[in-house]
Order: sequence, then structure tokens, then C-alpha cells
Amino acid sequence: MKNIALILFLFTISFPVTSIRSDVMYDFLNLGANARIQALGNTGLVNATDAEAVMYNPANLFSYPQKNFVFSLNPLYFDSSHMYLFYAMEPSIVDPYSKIGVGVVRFSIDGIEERGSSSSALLGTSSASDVAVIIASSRLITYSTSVGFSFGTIASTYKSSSNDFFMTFGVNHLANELRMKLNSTIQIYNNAGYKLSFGGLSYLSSQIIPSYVIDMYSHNRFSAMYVSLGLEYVISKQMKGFLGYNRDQLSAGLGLALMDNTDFNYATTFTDLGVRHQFSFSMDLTP
Amino acid sequence: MRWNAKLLVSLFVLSNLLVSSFSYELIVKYKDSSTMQTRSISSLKAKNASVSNVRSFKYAPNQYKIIEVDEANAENVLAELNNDADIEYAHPNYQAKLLIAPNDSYYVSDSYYRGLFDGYGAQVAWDVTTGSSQIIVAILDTGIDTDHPDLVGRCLTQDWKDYGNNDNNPEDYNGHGTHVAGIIGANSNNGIGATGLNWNCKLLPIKVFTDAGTGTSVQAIDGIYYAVSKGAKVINMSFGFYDSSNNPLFFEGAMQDAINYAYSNGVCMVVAAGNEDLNISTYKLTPACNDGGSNKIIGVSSLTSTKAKSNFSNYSSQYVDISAFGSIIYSTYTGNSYTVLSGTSMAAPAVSGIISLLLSLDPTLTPSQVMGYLKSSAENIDAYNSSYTGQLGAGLVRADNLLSLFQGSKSSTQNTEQIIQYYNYPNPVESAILNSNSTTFFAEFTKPVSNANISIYSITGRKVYDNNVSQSASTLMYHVWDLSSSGSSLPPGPYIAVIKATVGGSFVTKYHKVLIK
Repeated sequence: MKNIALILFLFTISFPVTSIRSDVMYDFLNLGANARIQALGNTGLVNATDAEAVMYNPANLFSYPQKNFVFSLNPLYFDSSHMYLFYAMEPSIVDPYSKIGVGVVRFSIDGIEERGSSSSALLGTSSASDVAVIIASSRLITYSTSVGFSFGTIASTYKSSSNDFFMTFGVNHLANELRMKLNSTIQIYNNAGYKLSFGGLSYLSSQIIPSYVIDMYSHNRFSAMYVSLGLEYVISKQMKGFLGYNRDQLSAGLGLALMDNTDFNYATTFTDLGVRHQFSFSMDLTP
Repeated sequence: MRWNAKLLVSLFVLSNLLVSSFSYELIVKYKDSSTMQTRSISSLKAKNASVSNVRSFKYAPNQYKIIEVDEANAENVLAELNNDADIEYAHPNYQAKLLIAPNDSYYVSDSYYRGLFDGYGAQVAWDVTTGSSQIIVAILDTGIDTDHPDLVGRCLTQDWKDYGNNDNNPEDYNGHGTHVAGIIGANSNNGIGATGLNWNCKLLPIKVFTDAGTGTSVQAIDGIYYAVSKGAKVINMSFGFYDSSNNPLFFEGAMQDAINYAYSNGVCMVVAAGNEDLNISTYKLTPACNDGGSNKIIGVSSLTSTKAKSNFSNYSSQYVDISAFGSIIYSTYTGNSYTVLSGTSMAAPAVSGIISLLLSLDPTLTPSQVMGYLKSSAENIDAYNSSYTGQLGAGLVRADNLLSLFQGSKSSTQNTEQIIQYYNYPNPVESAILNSNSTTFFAEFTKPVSNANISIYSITGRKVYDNNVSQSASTLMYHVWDLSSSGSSLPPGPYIAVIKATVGGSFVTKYHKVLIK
């Protein structure tokens, strides 16, 4: 009992006193991977079913992977650019119940004016960039349930501290004769607390697919909860429309099936900083 | 050739900013054939009605010509000439101006003394203005030796006041005030002695100390009100009082009321930071720390000639706004003499003198505007003061930068852009995760703005900070953002700071990138 009390005491005093706005930590990852997800209100927890599930919910890698290669190189507002590339595969034909994936996300912004601490004189301009590398694995544990795990590391050109990392544990469950999907993840950051996410998706018809995600952030004294909503409308076999709502931002988009194995997705997001336009390509590179 | 033309057109425009006047004449150098010259000039005159006259130099080879053009078409003609195959080059005829250097004996003979003026960029500033007799600088001190040959004719003798000895004889028998007066406005270019930073302003001696150099806050307070009543635009206060009792009224009482009164009447107050090598954020003294919560006075620290902090100078990140040379300063002294003194008492009048030059260009500038120009034009001296980074104000006062910045902003007001500049410093900002940290936002508008809104967004557009910045109507705005003020620190990353304001009836928005390390 004494040992337990001592451990609890040490755990308590080892907590840093400062809390961090973890909802904007690694904010470049919130720019999304796959424009379809952005158009659907960044509801990747439940809607990421291509290779970008590596980042959003690794459990979804297995559940219903459509395209195993996703990439984009997208200029954005304020001299910034956003690039990502994800790839998912079955590690072995011997084990058809597991999948693995890898992804890299890079964000950079140019034209940052540098000024000293006590003078307003312009010292020059510089750039800043962040790179995240994520690996993930997923396994089917019943015919309707899969679990996943991912590990990501983030390097930044401007930070004086060492690299950051995060881990994600995810669950994906299909219910109601596979017409409903329930997802959950917990994402743990090495220095910014954790994010707990719940979400669901339902096939109201073969054309209308609404979804929702609840994200809860916590780091010491800081906590926040946000709701995101998405609506996918299948216009035809070649075309889909998307609508989304994510933390006061509205989004919309379009998905086009360019060829049998390639999708082009476009998203526009309305923010206080202006309208953001994003696009991406998803491909099925399965031999 | 096309790039040469663009370069010359740029120089043409730039020259309008750099030289005081410009004659719209172009100098052209032809390639060697005289027949080509004739043909080219003729065709140019035929094609372009703005070319009114062509003449030759008196002694330069005939290859060179001077072409007079209409002002409105000067750039087009210049570009056309530089694209002409017969012409080697063409450029504007710049009007030269002599750089003013005073002939005061000590300025001419002593390189150390002259070097201090060079440190302020004084010679360049004097080309813009040597000051105006319409500007009154009040000197609250031990009086002034008004008969000193380097000060004679500069003092407002009919308005002088002696609160130190309670009589109307502000003659200086101590020397301190006369020394201060010479730094601000010694008669210059008269072939003798010292050089003042302002050659023409009027000095108002208000004696608030006895001849022994003692005084109380009563005299100082009376002196401030008197200076305002006599139309002073600048008040120099090279003195300070410490309060050992830590009485809060020391900084909120009658002295603060007097400073508030002067500030609200548009008077700039320049105050010495003190000579005890102390951080006056902790060891407060008045009036240097009487900023009234909104930087109403200009606190001055002292530097050596190498731009390092003088070993005696007080310092503060809160109360020191700028620095000036205060070590081994030559200036006027009692008994028609000169001497060398050191102290922040000598640094403050240098700032007063330079401010009075600025006010000579525009007497309507408010103290907050002057403060903004002063800080924005200062020279960064962090490299010479690694142990006092951020504690010596914005850096070394620079007269050349100050007047140039002011003139630049005046010409910029012709632009349709309502926000002339908007930025924060330092940038990048150190993270506030482990220690409290802040950064200052600065904006300059074309017209006075009484309030503006600064919002900061993460890169995905999430608002993380929102503040309405209220101020007295001014074209300059400062706002300090404490990164940990919301209770939770913002994580490292790029952010977008958005300023929104109503400028002259127009609602304007400007964006700026802030990086947190």
C-alpha cells in the first residue's frame, strides 16, 4: 500500500504545471490527408477508408480499404504548402487478417519575417516546416471488428526541443448488418496529453451516408471537446458530393472516379483566414 | 538592355525618395556616330512630345546629351531611351546636395566627439533639418548659463523660471543644466566649442534644483505644469528620486498627475533612467518609472561610444524605451566654459534633441506617435549588450533613421494602403510552455485609429487569441501579447495574426505570420 501511495505521489509531482492547447498541437495534421476527408468535415476517424487511415484510425486500414495509395502536393494560403503520401498493404499472403501502412506528411510555410527581441528592425525572412512519419498496423479480430495501432514521429525545423511522437490505438466495429460503423481512437502525445475520439457512420441508403465524430482533448488543465459532421452523397458511380462541418468551419467537395483505380478528390473549406482549396489523388496499386 | 532600363527606372523612382529635389532631365550617352545621334534625337522628339529640349554638356564629349522631359512621362522616355539601339545608356540627372557638417571647433578637432554624432546619424539628419525655432524644449534642471557663447540667443529668457531658489533667475551656477542644454541645442556651425543636436530650437530653462543640486518633487511637478503652459513640445528631465518607503502614491500621486497632464497636452517627456547600475523595474525611481501604465514618458539608458551599456546606467525592460550615448560627453558648462560629464543625464538630452528635430518636421505629432517612430527607427544593440538584451529599450536612438522613417511614412500616406506596416517582435517567439513569454505587435496606419482588433489563428484557421486594442487616437499601435495569458500555452508552430481596424472610415484587414519556436 505504501508503495502504491509513493508511486501515485511521484506520478502526481512529475506532472508538468503548464498545460498546452493540445487542440492546435501539430495543427498541420488537421489540414487532413485525402481531400475527401477534409470535405467531410475532417471526419477521418470514420470516413478514412483509403490509405490515409494510417493517420486517422489505423483500425480502418483493414475494415474497408478502397485505395491503398493516397498522395497530394497542395499549395495553400499564406505561402504554405501541404504534401502527403500514404501507402497500405497486406504484409503477407499467409496472414490475410492483418494490414500495415506507412505515411509521410509535410507542411511548410515561407516568408516569416524575423525580428529581434528589442528592435523592430527586419532581420530577414525564413521558412518553417514540419514533417510527420507514421507507421500503422491493423488486424481483423472478428468478422465485424478490427483494431489498429500506429506510431508517428514529428520533426520541425524551427523548434528548439527534441522531436515529438504520438501513438494511436483504434477500434473499428461494423454493426446492423454492416450498415453502421462505430469507431474509436485514443491518440497519446509524448508532451501534449491525449485525444479521445468517438464516431459513427450510417448508410441511410446506398446514396446518403452521414457521419459524426466527437474529439476530446486533454492536457493537464486544458480540455476541449469538438463535434464534426460529414455527409457523403453518391451522385453516380463516377461522382460523389461531400459536405462537412468541423469546429465552426464549413466544407464541401467533390470526388471523381477518373479511372477504375484512381479517384480525384477536391475540398474547399471556409475559414476565418479565407477559403482553403485542397485536392488529392487516391489509387489502387494492388497488383 | 531591357533589364538595364528597368533598373534605371527603379533608380529614377528611388531618387525621388533619396534626394531633396529632382530636375527632370536625363543624361544620355550615345554610341559613337554623330549622324546616329541626330537621327535618334529627332525620332525621339518626333515620337514623343514630352521631350522638350536637347542640349550638350559644356566640356564633356559630344557623345553625351542632356534631354529635358515632362515630369509625367519621364519614366517612359527613360525606358524608351534605354531600349534604343543607338544609345549606350540613359539615366536621370540627379540633383546633388552637400552634406552638412558643422564647423564647431571641438566637432572638427575631436574624432571621438564627432563619432558620437555619427553614431546617431546626425549629419544625415541635419541634411533633412537642423531644427526649427518654433519648437520649445523645456529643460527641468539646475538652470542654464544663458550668456554662454554657445547658448546665447537660444533661451526663452522672458519665460524662464526658477522654482529651485524661488526667484526669477534661472542662471545656472551648478553646471548640470548648462551641460544638458548644450547637448540638446548648443549653437552650431559657429566655429566654436560644442555642437547641439538641434541647431535652432528654443530652450526654456526651468530651474527646479538649487545651485547645490538639491530639489524635491514639488519643484519638478510645478516645472512640468509651467513647461506645458509655455508651449513646450519636449520636456527633458535629467534627474530622478528613489522612494525607500515603497509608497504606491510615489508613482500614482501628484507627479503622475503632472505627467498625465503633459502627455494629454501633446508634450513628449524624456527622462534619464538613473546611474546606479540597477534594474529600475525592481528599484523604481520617479519620474523614469512614472509611465502611467501606458508608456507616457521616454526612459533613456546610457551607452558608451562602443554601444555597450555604460557601467553606471540603470536598465529595465519595462521603463527604458531607448538608449543614447552618456559616457564622456563634451558640452557647454558654466562660466562660458566646456567640460566632459557622464551619466544618463547626458543620454536623455541627446534623445530630446533628436525628438525636437522630428517635431521640427511636424509639430503636430503626438507623444505616442513620437514614441513609435523613435522605437521603430532605433539601432539594434543586442550584439553589444548580451547581458542586457531587451533591457535597454529599442536600442540606440538614430536621428537619420528616425527622420527617414517619418518622411517615408508621410509619403506612404498617399498610398491607398491603410495599414503602412504591421509586424511583431521578436519573431520567432520563444515558446511559453516552460516560461512566460510575450511578443509585441506594432501597426502603423495612415490615419489615427482609436481601436483595432488583433486575432491570432492556428494554420488551419482556429482562433486562439482575440483582443480589442483600445488607445488614444493614434496612427501607431502597440500591443503586447502574453502567450500564456489564457492559462494554457500555445504549442510551437506557425500562426497567422490578423489585425482589423477602421482607418478613415474604411474597414481594413492585414495578415502577419508569427512563428512560435
